[in-house]
Amino acid sequence: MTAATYLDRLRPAGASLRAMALLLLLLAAFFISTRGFSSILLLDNIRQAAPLGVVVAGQALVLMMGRLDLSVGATASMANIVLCSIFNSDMANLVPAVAATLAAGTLVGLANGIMSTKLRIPAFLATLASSLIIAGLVVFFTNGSPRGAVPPAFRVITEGWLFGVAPYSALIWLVLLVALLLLVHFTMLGRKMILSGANVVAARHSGIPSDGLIILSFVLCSVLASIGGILLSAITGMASIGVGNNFTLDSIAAAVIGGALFAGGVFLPLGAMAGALILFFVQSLLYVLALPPAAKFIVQGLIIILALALANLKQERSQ
Amino acid sequence: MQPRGSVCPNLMLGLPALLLAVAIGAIATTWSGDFMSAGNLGNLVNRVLPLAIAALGEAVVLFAGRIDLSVGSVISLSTAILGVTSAQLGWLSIPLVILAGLACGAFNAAGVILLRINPLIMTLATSAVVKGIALLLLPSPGGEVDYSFYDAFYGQDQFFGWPLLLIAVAFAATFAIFGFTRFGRSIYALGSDGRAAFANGVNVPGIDLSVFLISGGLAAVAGLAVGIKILSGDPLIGDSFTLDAIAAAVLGGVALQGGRGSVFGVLAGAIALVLIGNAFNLLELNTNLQQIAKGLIFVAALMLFMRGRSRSPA
Repeated sequence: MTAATYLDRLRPAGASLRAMALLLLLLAAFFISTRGFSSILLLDNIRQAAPLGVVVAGQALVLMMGRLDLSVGATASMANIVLCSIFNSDMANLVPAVAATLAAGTLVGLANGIMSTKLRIPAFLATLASSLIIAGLVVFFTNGSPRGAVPPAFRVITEGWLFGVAPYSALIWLVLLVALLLLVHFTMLGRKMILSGANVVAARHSGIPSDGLIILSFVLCSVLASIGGILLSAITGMASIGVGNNFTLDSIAAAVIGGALFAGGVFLPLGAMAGALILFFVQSLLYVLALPPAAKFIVQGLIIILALALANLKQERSQ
Repeated sequence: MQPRGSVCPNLMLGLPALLLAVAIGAIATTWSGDFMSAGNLGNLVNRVLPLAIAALGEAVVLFAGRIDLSVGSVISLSTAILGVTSAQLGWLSIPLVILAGLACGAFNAAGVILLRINPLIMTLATSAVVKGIALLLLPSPGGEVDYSFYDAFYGQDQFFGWPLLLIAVAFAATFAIFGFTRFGRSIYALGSDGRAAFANGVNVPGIDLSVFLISGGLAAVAGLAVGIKILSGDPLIGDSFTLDAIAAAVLGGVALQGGRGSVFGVLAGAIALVLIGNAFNLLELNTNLQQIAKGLIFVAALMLFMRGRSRSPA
C-alpha cells in the first residue's frame, strides 16, 4: 500500500466537515455573545466536554458495527461509584481504583457483546436490560447512599492544565480519539471491524470473525464509557447515584450529529468530537438561558430527529 | 412453513407464557393461602391492567415489525397531565390524556413515515422529548387526581370489576381485529415481509400510522390506569414500562422481527411478569434485587425466544 492511500484515509469525510462547520458557527455565535474570542474560555469548555466526548467515541464505535449501546450511561454511573468507593479519598489507592473501574467496564462490555452476538438478542434490548441490571446492582451494593470520593490530587486530570495551556482531560480525549482513528482506519483489525459493520454477510463470507469483532467493539465502548465516568468523577469529586445516566441519549445524539449511521460501516472520529462539542455547547446555552432542566430532554430528542432527518434527506438527494 | 397471520399457530406461541403464569400461580397458591383470596386477586388484576394495556399497544407495533420505545414516557406524561388537570377539568382530563397519547403516536409515525427515521431511534428520541414535556408540566411527583375517579374505577376492589372488563374488552377487540379483518392481516403481512406486503397493495404508511396511534393511545390508557391508581402524577413513573411491555410481548411469543404472535400470548406474558413481581414481594425480596432479577428474566426470555429465528436487526 502506498503512502498516498494512507494519507487518503486521513482526509475527513463530508459528514465530519459539516459537523465541524456547524461547530464553528455555534462557536462564532458563542464568542460574539461573550464579546470577543478567548482561547482560555474555549479550552475550558472543551475540558468540561471531555467526559461526554470519550463516551461518544465508544458509542460511535458500536454504531460503526451496526449496533446500539443503551447502557453507556449506566456504565459511566457505575464507574463513578466503583472509582470513588475504592479510592476513598486516598491517592495510595490509585491503581486498584482505576483498574477495578476499567475491569468492571470490560465485564459490562463482554456481557453486552455476548448477548448481542452469541445469544442473538438485539443489541438495543440487551443493553437496555444490562443498564437495568447495572443500576440495580449499584443501588443494591450501596444501599442507595454511596460513600467515598476521589482524592484532590486525582482531580488534576480534569482540573489541571499541561504547561498551563492545554487541559489534561482534553488531551486524554484527543489521545483516545487518535488511538481509535489509528485502530479503525490503519490496522487490519480495524478494517475488518468496519467491513463487518458495513455488511455482516459479506464479512462472514470473507472469513472475518464478525462476532468476535462485535464483542470487541462493545468491550471498547464500555471501557470508554468507564473512562468517561472516571473523568466525570474527577469533575464532580464524589460518588453519587446515576451521575452519568444522561450519557446514553447524549452520546447517541452527539454521534448522530457527527455523521454516524445506524446502518453501520461509518466511523468518523472528527465528527464524533465535533458532535460532542456541539451538544455540550447547546446544553450550556440552555443553562445560560435558565431554561428548566426538562428542556434538555426535549432538545436531546429533537437533535436526534433533526440530524437523522437531514442525513436521510441528503442520502435521497445523492441517489 | 406454517401460514403466517393465521389464528391457531399464533395462539400456540402464547402457550409457554400461559404455562409459566399458571405454574407461578400454582406455586404461589401452595406457598401462601392468601394468594387466591378475593383481595389479592383483585389487587393482581389492578396491577396487570396497566402493563397488559401497554404491552398490547407495544405488541401491535411489534406485529408490524416496528418497535416503540416511547411507551414508558407516554405513560409518565399521561399521569402528569392527569395530575395537573383533573382538579379543574374533571372528567374532561381523560379524553385530553388520550389525545396526548395519540399525538405522541402521530409524532412517532411522522418521523418514521415522512422523515424515514428508523422506528427504534425515532421512538427513542420521542421518548426523550415526551419525558421533557412531562417534566415541564410536573417537575416532581405530585398534583392531584380526583378521588371520585378512583372510587368509580377501582372502587369495587374485587376480581370482577371495571379493570378486568377493560382488559377483556381491549384484548377481545384486538384479537378480533388481528384474527378476522383485512387491517389485522395487513399488519401481520407488513411484519412478515415488508416488500411482499407492499407489492401486494398493503398501504404501508397507513399501517405505520395506525400501529403507532394504537400504541400511543393504549399507552395513554395505561397511564390513566396508573395515575388513577396512585391518585397523583409522576413524571418518571413510566420509565420501567417500556422494557416491561416489550418483555411481556416477547414472553408471550411475539417475534421482534414482526409478523408473529398473538394478543392472548401478550396477556399471558403480562400476567406472568406481574405474578413474578408478586412472588418476589411474597418472598420479601429487596426491591433492587427485583430490578436485577427482572433484567435477567428479560434476557433469558429473549434468549429462549430468539433462538433459531432469523438474524435480528440492530
